[in-house]
Amino acid sequence: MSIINKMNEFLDFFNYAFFYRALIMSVLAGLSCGIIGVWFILLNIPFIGVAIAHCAFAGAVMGLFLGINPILSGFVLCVIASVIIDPISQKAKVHNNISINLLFSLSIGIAFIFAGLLKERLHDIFAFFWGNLLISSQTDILLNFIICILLVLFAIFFHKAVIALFFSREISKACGIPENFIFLLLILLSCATISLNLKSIGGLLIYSLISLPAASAYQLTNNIKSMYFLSSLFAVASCICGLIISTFVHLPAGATIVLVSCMAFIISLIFSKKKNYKK
Amino acid sequence: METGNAISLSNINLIATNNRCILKNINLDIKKGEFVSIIGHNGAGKTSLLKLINGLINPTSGTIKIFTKNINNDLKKHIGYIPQTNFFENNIPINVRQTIEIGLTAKNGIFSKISYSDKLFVEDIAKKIGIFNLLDTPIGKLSGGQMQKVSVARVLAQEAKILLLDEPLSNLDTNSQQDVIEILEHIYKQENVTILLVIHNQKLIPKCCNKTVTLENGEIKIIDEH
Repeated sequence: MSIINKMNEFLDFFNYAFFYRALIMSVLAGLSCGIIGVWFILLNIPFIGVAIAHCAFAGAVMGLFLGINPILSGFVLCVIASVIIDPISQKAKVHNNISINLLFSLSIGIAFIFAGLLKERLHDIFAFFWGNLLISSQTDILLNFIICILLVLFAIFFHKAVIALFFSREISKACGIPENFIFLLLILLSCATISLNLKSIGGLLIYSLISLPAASAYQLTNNIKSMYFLSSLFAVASCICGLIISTFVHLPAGATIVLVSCMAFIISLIFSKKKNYKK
Repeated sequence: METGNAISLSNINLIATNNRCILKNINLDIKKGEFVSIIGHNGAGKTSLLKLINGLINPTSGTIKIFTKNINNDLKKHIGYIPQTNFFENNIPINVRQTIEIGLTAKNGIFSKISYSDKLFVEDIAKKIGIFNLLDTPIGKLSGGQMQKVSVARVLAQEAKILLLDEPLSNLDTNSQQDVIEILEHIYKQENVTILLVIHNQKLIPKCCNKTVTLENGEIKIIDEH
């Protein structure tokens, strides 16, 4: 197929409402993942993000099996996962990474057992695994718009407290800042973001969209507000570029988005402001 | 010196989950306005004692009173804490000004706005500590001595009535140690504060210190009043 034919075929997508919905979802998913990515990177809890993303996927598959809303069951399971990491570590007297590893394995096991029991709905299950922006509904857009508003409001009103947590959770606790409450809010918002983006980005890939744009922004700025802005910008750009490239050359959208965000990270390393820092 | 106790520890025992006794039968009253140094070998329980006072850990038994009340979040606003090590990532995008403002957040509440007078207040503290030229520097770029000065500025912005300082001189060169000691002596003379200083090297105990507590294997061995 010539490039002109491909271009015509691509431009045809602009005649369909689902493509506009996918573009709007790209902006909303990028914005929300960009914001929570800053929290995960600066709180130094990247693996908690990985574990809750996979638990959300397992919860969604369980929801399909049990006949309940998969987004809701995904949200519930990832909230449970994020809340029990610390108690498991304390009870088993092991590092948090061991508990996270346990949850990661458990969630993958649960997901694939229910997938095995639901062979007739493998298509739906893989939609939560890989994600597909092109099947975003108006309800998805509305829910993602609401979560974006909540994230922005949280980032504005809790800015000072969140900086204290970034600096040191121990010092925040010692001087009376309610760090546990703020951390819990932050994790709940992150769980909601991950669950709502399962269908569009996918449980396997969403964590890359959370961590890579924030990690790229981290390379380029020494200012938290700029980091929020750049992280969201990179995530939105990755989603839109990924969507357009995948539509143009018939590739899975989620995987293309992640590859674009990987490229952005590699480029940011080249222009990194941090490489000359002393250790 | 003011009357009344700033900190009162009664029959404090702290036992770790592996049944190791970290602190044993600690009874200690620290009056308002006292400067107390806590010395002892590694593992003597010095850091645990400070963490008990600011509520980071709970005792297995015994009572802790801060200004005659049980520790709560409202009282914690009056306790400035400088831990032994700074845990942040080297490249964290937080500058010196934002770090000092954490003290304001603790004092005024998490939803408080930083007013113009707050900015001037932070700048005054930075001038007093000698870090005014570093206000816009990311904290990852600071040396150990500069970071300890920033930590002192943070607790000053908090206007804490009790300062808990956990080996603030460790890992500093001799000049930086002297700088920090002079700043602590100046703060003690100028501000109305009670200071608990955990220190490893007895030779570095500031001259204005009025009580030295020696811990050994989790027990108070000597209380030396100057």
